[in-house]
Amino acid sequence: MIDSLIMLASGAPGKPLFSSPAIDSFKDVVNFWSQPQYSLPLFTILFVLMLVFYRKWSRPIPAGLILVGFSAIYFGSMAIDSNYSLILTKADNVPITIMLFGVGICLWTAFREAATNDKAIEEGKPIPYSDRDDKVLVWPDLVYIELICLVLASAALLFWSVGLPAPLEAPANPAGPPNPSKAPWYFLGLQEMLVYFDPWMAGVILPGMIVSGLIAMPYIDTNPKGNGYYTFKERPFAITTWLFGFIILWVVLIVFGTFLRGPNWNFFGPYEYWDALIQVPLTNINLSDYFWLYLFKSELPTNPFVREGIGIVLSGAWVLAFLTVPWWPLMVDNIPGIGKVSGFARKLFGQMGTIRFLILAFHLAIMAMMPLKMVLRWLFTLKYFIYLPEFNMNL
Amino acid sequence: MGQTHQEITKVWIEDGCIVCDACETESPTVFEVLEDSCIIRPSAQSPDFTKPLTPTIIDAADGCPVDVIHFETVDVEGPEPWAGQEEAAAEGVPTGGGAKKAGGTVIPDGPPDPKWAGLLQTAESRGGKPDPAPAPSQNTPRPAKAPAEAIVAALPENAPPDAKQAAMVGSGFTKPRSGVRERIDAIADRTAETSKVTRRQFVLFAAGGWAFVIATLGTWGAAIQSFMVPKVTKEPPSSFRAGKLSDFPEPGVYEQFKPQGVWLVYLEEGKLVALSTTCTHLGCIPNWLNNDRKFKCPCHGSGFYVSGIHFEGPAPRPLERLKIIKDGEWIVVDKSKTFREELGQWDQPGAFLTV
Repeated sequence: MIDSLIMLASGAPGKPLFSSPAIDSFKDVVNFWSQPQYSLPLFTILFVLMLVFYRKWSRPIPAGLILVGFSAIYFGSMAIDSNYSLILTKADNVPITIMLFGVGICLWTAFREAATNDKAIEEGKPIPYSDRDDKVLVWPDLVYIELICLVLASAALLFWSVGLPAPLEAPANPAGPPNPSKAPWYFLGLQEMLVYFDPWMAGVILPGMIVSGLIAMPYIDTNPKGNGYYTFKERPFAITTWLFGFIILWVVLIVFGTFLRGPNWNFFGPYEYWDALIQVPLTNINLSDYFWLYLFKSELPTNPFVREGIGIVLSGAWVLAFLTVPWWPLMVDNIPGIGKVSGFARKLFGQMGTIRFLILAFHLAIMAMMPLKMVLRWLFTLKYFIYLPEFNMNL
Repeated sequence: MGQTHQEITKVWIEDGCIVCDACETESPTVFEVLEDSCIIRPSAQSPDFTKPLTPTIIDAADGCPVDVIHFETVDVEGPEPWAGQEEAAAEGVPTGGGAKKAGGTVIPDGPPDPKWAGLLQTAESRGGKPDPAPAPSQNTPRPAKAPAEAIVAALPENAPPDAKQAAMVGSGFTKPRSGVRERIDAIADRTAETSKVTRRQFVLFAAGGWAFVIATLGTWGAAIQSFMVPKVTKEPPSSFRAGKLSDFPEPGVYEQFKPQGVWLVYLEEGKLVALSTTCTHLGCIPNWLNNDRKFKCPCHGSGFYVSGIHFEGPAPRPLERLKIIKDGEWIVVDKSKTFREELGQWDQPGAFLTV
């Protein structure tokens, strides 16, 4: 019922409601900037702007304008492109829409409160609602809220399940898997990671490190500031790190998997037809191939460890660089900017002690390696830093 | 001769009794342990009664684990009437009790519990005899309070309580009270003596316990093992006939056996090979794209050349080749035997058929 209404609003499949040369050029621009090598840096820049100008955009009027503008493009695009409308109205993808708006509202709430509180902190006033003695009773205060939430959530689920048909597909056929074969929406970020890493890395080690990092968080981050009240000014490093991992490395990857990944797991723009027969040159090259075949113009060494030596050394240096940030100035004291990073790391090291700092630095190194490898794949079709199929080890 | 000894005129119990029965065991005629408290028997609430029982009362007070038994004494002229009886004591008075310990070691540090004051009063009036030595303030070791106060006063005002205690002990004024730990150990020792387990009992008990542990772990292990193994193992035979050589006339990919998980590939170099249809990345089933001349996986975009070599996407190694042999004029594919390129197995016999 609901989906047929949406269909009606967005035009029949294959034929958009509106089309004109201006709209086509708009679609071309969006499709171009949606290519991952542009869109991921673009999202990162937007992310940084969000953090820098959190006091400005979180005010009601700019936030409302952002909400209206985003909704207009997000839903209005259904009227100008039938492929996009198919993606958006697929019953599988309804949770993506809910997630996007939910994340946006949560971010807005947090930064709005943080802006208010940070202003109060700067002016030396007490922070509203931060009194630890400001307690309420479980019964009736909390239980009433929970009851209302329960009723509302049940009603929403009921209407959702009645209004939208279950996304059932044809019976499974081992000879003909769906193309593309997509994971459940909440695992699309994981599936996107699997494109760039060995299955052992992206399927076991990286998710394991996400879990271990989440477990370690309360032991690593013992700073009591921000407990019970929103703030950004007092916790810039912690909040930036967390939000980068969540927004850029999880939510954005889910958006990629939903809107941009088409047949044969190729990238398509959001307004592009999913052509299963399109030819995309994607030949991937290992770092060792670049090093030996292209740079030295020689044969690959037979010893696998000599062959992958450059990758092993570079990967080790990457991790080591993170682990040794506090001691950087001993070597590169003069380079401006780096001294600042190093000074901050030294402060952290002093507060946290060796073990906790090393755990943090190791997780940061792996977390930072992920987008780096993705960008290198897009720009240089790099396959693996370390390629050791003899031992089922690839990085 | 001026020899004197002390005799108990009044005994009382302060708050904190743990109802341990120790005092009644020592001196059953004086103490009575009730359900949740301990009292002095009314008949024992007269100096005449308590005086002859002085050694047992002192022992009871000494043996009380929480030190709540207190008493007052008077000095009586003459030698101890019970001296020498200790060894032959019919009442089981332990040695070491009596006069030695009564030498001012126990300080009455307060009046009797008000709860018992009334009872004491009635006991005295009922006895009808006035206390022969009714001035306990002169006869008890209470005068020693002055030095005690002096010792405490010598300490700084904010000295912690244990410092005061230490000072009192150091000056020989009070004996150090044994700690809770020692008392618990002492009780444990007594319990261990009374409830000794024989070797046979212990062995039986240990064997039973270990049998229980092993049975539990074994059941768990069996459950996990059973969970790991599929309950239904209906598999088609791993080898099948795939036609004759004449069915594959020209180079290309033959897809008719894809439901069995095999592509038969006639390579340009004149080899017929059986490629597994399982992607080496995470086990999806790729599609053969004839225009691109490649196998392409729909799950994560891995791509393979017609030979099975991986060249794009995340697949870490080439597609596996399956055993292919000739049985007369029939081509037989055996899926149970795989040949992996990265292990150098593609040149082995059985990995290909020469056409």
